[in-house]
Amino acid sequence: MKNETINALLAGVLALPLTAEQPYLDPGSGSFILQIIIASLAAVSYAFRQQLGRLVKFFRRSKDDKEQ
Amino acid sequence: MAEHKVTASFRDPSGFVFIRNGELYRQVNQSYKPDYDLLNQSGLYEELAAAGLLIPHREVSAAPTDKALAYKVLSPERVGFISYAYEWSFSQLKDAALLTLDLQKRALARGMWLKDASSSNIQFHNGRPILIDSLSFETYPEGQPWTAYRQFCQHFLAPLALMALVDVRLGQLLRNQIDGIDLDLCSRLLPGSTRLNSGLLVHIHAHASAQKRYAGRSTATAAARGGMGKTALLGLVDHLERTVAKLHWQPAGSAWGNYYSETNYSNVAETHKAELVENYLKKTKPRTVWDMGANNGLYSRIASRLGAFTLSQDYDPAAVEQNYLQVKADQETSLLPLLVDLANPSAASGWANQERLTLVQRGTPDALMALALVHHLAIGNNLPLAHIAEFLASLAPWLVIEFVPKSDSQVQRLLAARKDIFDDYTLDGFAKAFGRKFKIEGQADIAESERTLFLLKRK
Repeated sequence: MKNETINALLAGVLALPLTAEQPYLDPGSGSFILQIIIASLAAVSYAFRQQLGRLVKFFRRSKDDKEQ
Repeated sequence: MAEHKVTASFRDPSGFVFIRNGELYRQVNQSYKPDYDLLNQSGLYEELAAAGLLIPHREVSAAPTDKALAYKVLSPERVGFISYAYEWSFSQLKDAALLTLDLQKRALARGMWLKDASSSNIQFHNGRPILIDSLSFETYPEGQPWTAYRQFCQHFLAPLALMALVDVRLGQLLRNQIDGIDLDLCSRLLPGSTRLNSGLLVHIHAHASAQKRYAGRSTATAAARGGMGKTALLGLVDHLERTVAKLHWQPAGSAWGNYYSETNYSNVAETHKAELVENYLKKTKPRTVWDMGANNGLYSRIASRLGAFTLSQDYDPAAVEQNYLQVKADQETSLLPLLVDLANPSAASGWANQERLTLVQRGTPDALMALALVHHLAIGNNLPLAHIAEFLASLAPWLVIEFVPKSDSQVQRLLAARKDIFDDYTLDGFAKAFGRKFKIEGQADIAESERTLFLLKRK
């Protein structure tokens, strides 16, 4: 079931065309596909960490301001 | 006019490196013009060169070597010695990996990215890793997955994971696998528990499976418009960075890593030896020194403090690691620790045996140091003294070398479990063997020890 879902997802990915210029280095099909699979997870995780970082910075600044 | 292309510089059609009359140049080809111009206009070159992350270059009017293709000719600052990833300690490779990811992030912030992530694009310059390939950046193609992702994982993440989690000696796989360690091999060699590490699970294990499953599929259909946005790409780089940062290697019980704290001679002997080494080096005034069997670089630092660019070589990964960490801590700029086994120095490899050069092809030292080394070669490796003398004489005109007699406890350790077949291994035998290739310019007994230090000049 899990494999079928992944395969269905990939079928969509594989049907999409490449628009950029081909690289001189062989990026490897599997390496490309893996990145696309983890892309949304990576984006959410990164955005969350960025926001968390900003929040921590904000509270640290407020704390410093109070101490001063 | 003596001119030749650098033999390792042929994969990337953006340009190549050539040497003319001893000067190093990089030709930038017309095909790379838009990217080269963006590198400058975006401020990326200036930022990286100022931060010491990219080797600085000047645009020069020297004639290109291939006029039909040429856009510009650059004169890059030269690094002291070209070294390869299999000659680096764990932390050297880790710092090179982190630099590569930092470069990728900085490039993305200015509308570019790294189109390749080869460890051979990184060198150690003034004690720090630096990118030497100015043509590694290209315009970021919005929406595309990172073309150098596989190369990064093979060149950096796989060897680092194997070194940290299995055995540090597995870094030596890079001698054979010069385009990085195959991910399926890495996945098989790593313990099953690494599947619980999200970074290694994705970038090594799942990556290896994906390579197997989708081998031969065209990336022309795999990649997608909007397939991988910039935030996702930054997320990938961030995840790789955290995965690399979490890998650590602590030397545990290596034969020679603690040599100087377990030495068999006194402080007086150590101080006297250091004085003699300094005096001998001052006589030869070398600009470049190779310290062979340098351990953690204690004596190499005498040479570097005298102003010589010093290669501090040892075969013990723990000693080289310790040496590099000291270079970092003290921000030393003229000492390069390298993992080299003198009984089996780095060989030539790659296409036509010319992509990676031998150790001796890459430099011409003015002086060699071989301290507490000759017994390892002569007794530990059964190398006849005459062969050692011949090889060392082929490398440099000056040699500071220490003779350690059989009665020394370090030599006794080497002979403990074997037959003593080394009748010629005496002070006279040493002087005779080396006397064929060298003239003795200095000889002194080291105080409170049975050892002798020689200054030899090649005949």
